[in-house]
Amino acid sequence: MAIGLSVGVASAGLLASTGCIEPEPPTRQVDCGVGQPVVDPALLAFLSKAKSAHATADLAAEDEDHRSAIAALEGLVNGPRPGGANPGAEAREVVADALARLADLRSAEGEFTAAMKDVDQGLALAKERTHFRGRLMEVRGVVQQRHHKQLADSGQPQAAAKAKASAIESFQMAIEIQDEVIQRALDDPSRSP
Amino acid sequence: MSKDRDSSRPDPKAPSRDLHLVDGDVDAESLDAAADALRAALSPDEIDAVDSEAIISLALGTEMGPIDDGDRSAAEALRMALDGHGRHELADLAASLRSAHRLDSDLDAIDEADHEVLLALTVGDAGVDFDAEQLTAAAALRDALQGQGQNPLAEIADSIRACSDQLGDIDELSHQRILRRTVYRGGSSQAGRASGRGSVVATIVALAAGIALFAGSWQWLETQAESVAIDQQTLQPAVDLAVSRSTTDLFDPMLPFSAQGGESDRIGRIVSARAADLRANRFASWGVR
Repeated sequence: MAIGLSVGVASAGLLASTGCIEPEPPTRQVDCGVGQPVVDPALLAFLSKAKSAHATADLAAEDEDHRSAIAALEGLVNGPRPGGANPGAEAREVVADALARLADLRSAEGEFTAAMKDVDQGLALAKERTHFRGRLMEVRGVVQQRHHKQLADSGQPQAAAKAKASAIESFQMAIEIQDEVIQRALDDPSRSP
Repeated sequence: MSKDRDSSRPDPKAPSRDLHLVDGDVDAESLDAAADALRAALSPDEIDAVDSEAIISLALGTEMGPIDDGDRSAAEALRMALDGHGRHELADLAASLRSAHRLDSDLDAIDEADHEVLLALTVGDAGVDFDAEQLTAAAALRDALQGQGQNPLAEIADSIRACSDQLGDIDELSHQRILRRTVYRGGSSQAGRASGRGSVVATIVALAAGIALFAGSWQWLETQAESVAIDQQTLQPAVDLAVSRSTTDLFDPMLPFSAQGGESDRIGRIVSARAADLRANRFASWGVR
């Protein structure tokens, strides 16, 4: 547990972050792959590593060993990825999903600032309004909700109220993204029965 | 052929050091002999007639037999190519294998997750379930690659790394095509017909190919920022290949992701789909649909 003395500092950093939620970017078309790199062994190697990292985290989570789960996922998100600074769609989505999980795990350990950084990194990767971005928004709400509770329990009502408002806003944005994805599917004639 | 390596030969009474990933019937001594053959292939000065025969067999996907004048000419052409004079199919293979040299500085980075990648690439597919024996063998290989203990494949990797001065300018799929054609034509699918040594050599090459593929892929990941790698990656494919793209079509848009859990299921689905794409790309790059 890394709550302890870091709570005060973490709280300040988190509030600086949660107090300024950037507006959602305009809706973008999900890329259709034209002109993209081909699916090659390097991509499969990366995806296979991601699968192993999540499986390792699953096993650790079974034992409530959040530290080991975090370590497994850190190896994925901080490691090399196809495309380097400009990863392909799969790598961006896979890393974004792992970052969302990391944020969830870290916030459960009271590491709210680090959790928000994970979410922000994930949102920078999952820019399209898909379920990947929606999940990141939802996890951001979860992080802020947990932080709200921690602040309230530690006698910081004003900061707690601010965190609560941020959580509600994040959850609302998550719902909007999810609604948009569902509506796109309903409007897609190829999905008609 | 193995005259200088008796001290490194395995003790026949010692536990097997084989990797049973391709052919579990291959004994360690045969692997060692095959390693010599491959090592010789990477060191042109040491190629003798028998090694040349094995190399031709591997390069052309044929079984070994009596050497005629044509084979001898081919062997000479190959020797010249490996020596930097002219071109030969196996010269590309050798160049590809040499790229494994670059794994050298990354050995310490092989952790359990990387380990599974190594296994997946060695057997030619991702998402494969491995039994305890395979995992143990792979752990032994990893240790040997890190200088702890011995393993025939580690010896090959060492020799490959020693040949670092030449690196073929070859893209990833061509790399795979050469290696796979060599492996599949001379490997387990023909094991029943191939001569004993031929299958042993093919087995070694299959394993070495796995190492080379792993090394190449891993190195590729590590060097993404390098322009050469980017150039290779962004080249327009000559044939219609499956491209990198969003994975959202793999998931039901009507079902938002749960805020907790489900990650392993999602990545499993992604791996399965892209593994199928990669297989299709391999066939497409060979002109097969």
